[in-house]
Amino acid sequence: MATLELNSVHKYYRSGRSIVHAVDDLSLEIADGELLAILGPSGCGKSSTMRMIAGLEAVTYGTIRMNGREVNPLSPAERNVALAFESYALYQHMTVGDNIGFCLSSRGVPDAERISRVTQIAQVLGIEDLLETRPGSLSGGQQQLVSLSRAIVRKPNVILLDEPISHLDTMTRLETSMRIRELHHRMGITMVYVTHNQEEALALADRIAIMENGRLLQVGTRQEIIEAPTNTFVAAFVGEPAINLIPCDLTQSAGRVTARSEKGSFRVGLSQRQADTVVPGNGKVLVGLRPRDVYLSPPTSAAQSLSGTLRYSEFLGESTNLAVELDQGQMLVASVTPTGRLDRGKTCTVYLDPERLLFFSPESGLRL
Amino acid sequence: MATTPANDSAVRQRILATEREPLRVRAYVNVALGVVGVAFLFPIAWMVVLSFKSQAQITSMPPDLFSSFTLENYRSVLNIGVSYSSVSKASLMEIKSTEFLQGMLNTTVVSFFSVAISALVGIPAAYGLSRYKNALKDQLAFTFLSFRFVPQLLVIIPLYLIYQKIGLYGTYFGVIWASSLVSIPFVVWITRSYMDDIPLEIEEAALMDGHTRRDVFFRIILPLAKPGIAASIIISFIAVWNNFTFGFVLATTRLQPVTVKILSFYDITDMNYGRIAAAMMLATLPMILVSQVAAKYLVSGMSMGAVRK
Amino acid sequence: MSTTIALSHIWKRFGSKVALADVSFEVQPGEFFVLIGPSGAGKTTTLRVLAGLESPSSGVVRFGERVMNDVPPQARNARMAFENYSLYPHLSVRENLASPLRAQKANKREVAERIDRIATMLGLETLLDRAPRELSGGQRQRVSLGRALIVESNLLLLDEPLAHLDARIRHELRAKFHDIKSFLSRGAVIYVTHDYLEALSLADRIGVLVAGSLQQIGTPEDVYYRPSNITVARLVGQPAINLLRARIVTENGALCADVGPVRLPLSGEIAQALEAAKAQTVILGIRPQFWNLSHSRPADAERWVEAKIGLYEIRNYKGVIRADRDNSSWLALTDTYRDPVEGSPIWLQPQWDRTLLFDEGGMRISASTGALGRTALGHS
Repeated sequence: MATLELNSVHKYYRSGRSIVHAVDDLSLEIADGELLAILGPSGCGKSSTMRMIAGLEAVTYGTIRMNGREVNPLSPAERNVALAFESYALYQHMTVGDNIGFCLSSRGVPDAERISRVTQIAQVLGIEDLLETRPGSLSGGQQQLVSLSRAIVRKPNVILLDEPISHLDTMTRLETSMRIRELHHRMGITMVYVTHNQEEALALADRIAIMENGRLLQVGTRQEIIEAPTNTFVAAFVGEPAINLIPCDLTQSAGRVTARSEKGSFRVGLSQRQADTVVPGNGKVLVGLRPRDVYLSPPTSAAQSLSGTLRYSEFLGESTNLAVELDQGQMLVASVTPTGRLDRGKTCTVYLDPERLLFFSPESGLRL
Repeated sequence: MATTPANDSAVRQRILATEREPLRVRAYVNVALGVVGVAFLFPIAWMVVLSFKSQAQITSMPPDLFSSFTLENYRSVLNIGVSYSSVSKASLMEIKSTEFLQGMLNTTVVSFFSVAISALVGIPAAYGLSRYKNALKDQLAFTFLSFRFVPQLLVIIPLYLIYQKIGLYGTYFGVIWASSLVSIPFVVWITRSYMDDIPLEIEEAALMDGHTRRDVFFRIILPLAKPGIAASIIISFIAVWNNFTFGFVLATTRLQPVTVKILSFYDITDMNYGRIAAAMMLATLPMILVSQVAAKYLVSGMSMGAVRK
Repeated sequence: MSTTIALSHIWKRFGSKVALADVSFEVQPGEFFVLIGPSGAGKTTTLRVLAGLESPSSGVVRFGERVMNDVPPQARNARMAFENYSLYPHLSVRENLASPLRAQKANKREVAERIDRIATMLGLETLLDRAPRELSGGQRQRVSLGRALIVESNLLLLDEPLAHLDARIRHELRAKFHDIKSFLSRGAVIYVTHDYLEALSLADRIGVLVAGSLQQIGTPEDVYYRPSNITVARLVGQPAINLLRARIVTENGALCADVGPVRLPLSGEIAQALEAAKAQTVILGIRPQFWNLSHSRPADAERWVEAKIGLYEIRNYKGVIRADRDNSSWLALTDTYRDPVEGSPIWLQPQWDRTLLFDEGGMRISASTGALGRTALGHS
């Protein structure tokens, strides 16, 4: 169990003639027993950050502390961190049980205790039936759970997971991630989970740190990230389909402020509270509306409506994605419960709850 | 990721400072490397120095290594602008020099053709061994390699007798053919393992694009196997150039390679170490040049990025 | 280019392992057919048999009228985009794209024109002179796709093209495929994936392949709402469908489903189907979004199952409740923005008009006819 603290961490490395600034001024605090997800696209610096926490790579500037103690010069073993990476590196010639208990037996832990710890963890992860088998015959998801068990049995300060399930197929991915969450609930070990998949991050993490281009954009709970994203990147990255961003002009008439897209097909009236946050500005704003906040029937009594032409619909089982063309070039994507036939090319009316709108500055992308 | 920040050199220093191994480890490593380096390079350095020294300088005790240098050894080996104390000596040295140059020519011819034939035959063989997989095939490939394990002295007498019988004794072709015993294993083994690393999927992609198998071999396999082929050619060239046994037993005086001809400088009556060193330097020089020129082919990593890893 | 692609009774064995077992299906020209299944199901093997890179152990491959079993890959006029991209590392992007044209000995002008068109469609214009190793995953994938699209063909085979990409890029490219679909008007397209979202989104028809045999062929709606067996039902949909074993009993004159902890009265279509089928034990298939949920005790509680919220998490912006009762757990989707408290009670009731029925062997009982429909793998 440990707290983890990164203070103004920078990572530079040489690439040919130039220098790459992989991680830029990252400061992060992770509480004891927290599961923090580091989320971002490829190349955002999340793996570099993870490797620095692990001790696999040197920190160029800044410090990393565990339980208050600076760990920069320490090796992974000395820091007592456990790694569960995408490639499991299980010992093929030993049984699963031996794999998990390997570091215990090499530390001289007595057999009885070793067996009981191994069994306990295997039960939490649901793999106790596999203890006598060899890794070679296991599926990808099972191997990942074994790798994880092996990491946990050491009672490390921190467990680091780097895209542990991204290469598994969809069904296995869901089951494995539920087990990881279960594990975290039961054992309460501090975990850092790196992924590019925002669904995974939102499902598993207590808090999520979003990175782009080496910089930390936002850290917060799922609620905070979804409802109060710092900027358009965070808003667009988290959410599937991506948030609709519509450039609008603000006009005021009869004491009401309206946001209106250039060609006028997107038009919403703002409440007083919204108008207060938005008005300081040059009259231009980027309106954010999440697809799941667009409905085919009015969600509340205060709902406003928009209409356009249905360009395509994508049936996805639990939901259907619709693309409604409000006017030339302005599309609105909606994610709705599947209903009966929707005809392409026909006029379509959608509804939104204006309270769910987000507003961003068109120049900086920051949320207002 | 941002690149090249403001204070570039400061950052570079910082990178080195943070990523270096601790001093103690570095010291051990450098010392070990130094020792190994010296052990390997010393004989060569010794030979280079001696080739520029007169006999008097070499035989003095301690050897006079660092004062004046002379070109007399090279001139003596090549018989250019030297004069000798006696006429008989002068004519003897002239013969030795001519023989030496003849030997250089022979070695060049034998090496070139031997390697060329090995490449022509060995590269397609390597492709076949690489792609058409079965248990027999691995054994076959190993058999090729095992030719290298055969002590040449073991085969040389039967080979001599056979060559006599079939009239190949004392022919260029005979020596070339025997020398390919040395070069084919390298070509096949190295090229095959290089071809093994070319993913089969790339060939399949080419087939799906509509290319014929012939196209696939020439447009895809050969270019991608280039580093391996180049490496194997260089290594086998050097091995054949160095070969002594076949040239010694299977060739007449006219055809003997330079490895044999150098022996003539080992004259008990006139053992001039400097001259021997100069002869060795001249005999080795082509190999060094070839490997330098071709070295760039040895360092490319061609298949990076084509297939997702 | 209007040939129907057909596989008839294809078997493929690798030593003692059966990779494909009696696989048969047809794809019409212009159709976008998606083959879906878990890892190891045999999807790539199927593509390779169609491509000619593997020979079937038995069975016939036909393009139109012509039997293709002995025709080598380079003569089939089929194109393939490989899962691992398989770009030529020693050639530029431009030359990679041009490869199929070079094989056909196309002239310079045509090569330039086609490369232009494909590059514009896939956004590769600025990358034409780069080498594959300088490209990102998404870029390489587009080059691989471009190479397969640049020449019209009878058959386009796409092997998990989006599998190794970031989630974000995957979703964007999935949208791009809709544009590409209109470009591919003439040949047949067979697209392989393990991601059911891709299948539902892109397919005209879906083939579900599990452990080498085809479980069902149908439209996305068919496969989702009328899965032929529980394997298909579990594969398509996330979270996976809930499966409850139930004994059909009569109580107070009414048909009930005994699901262990409780007996649920049945009525309407589902009751009629069960009567007609005379089934004694069935498996109820309830998708997580087709429960009625109540956080407080409902008035007609005997028609509900009472359970406790064991786990709650948010997946894809929907709440997933795991409801526990004794030894059973069920998953339910909820749209609420309010986080339910773990440990608190919850009442669940299947939406009977959305509930699927399966017999003991896992085959779906058709609700409308009541027939114990061993649904044939129809060519729908």
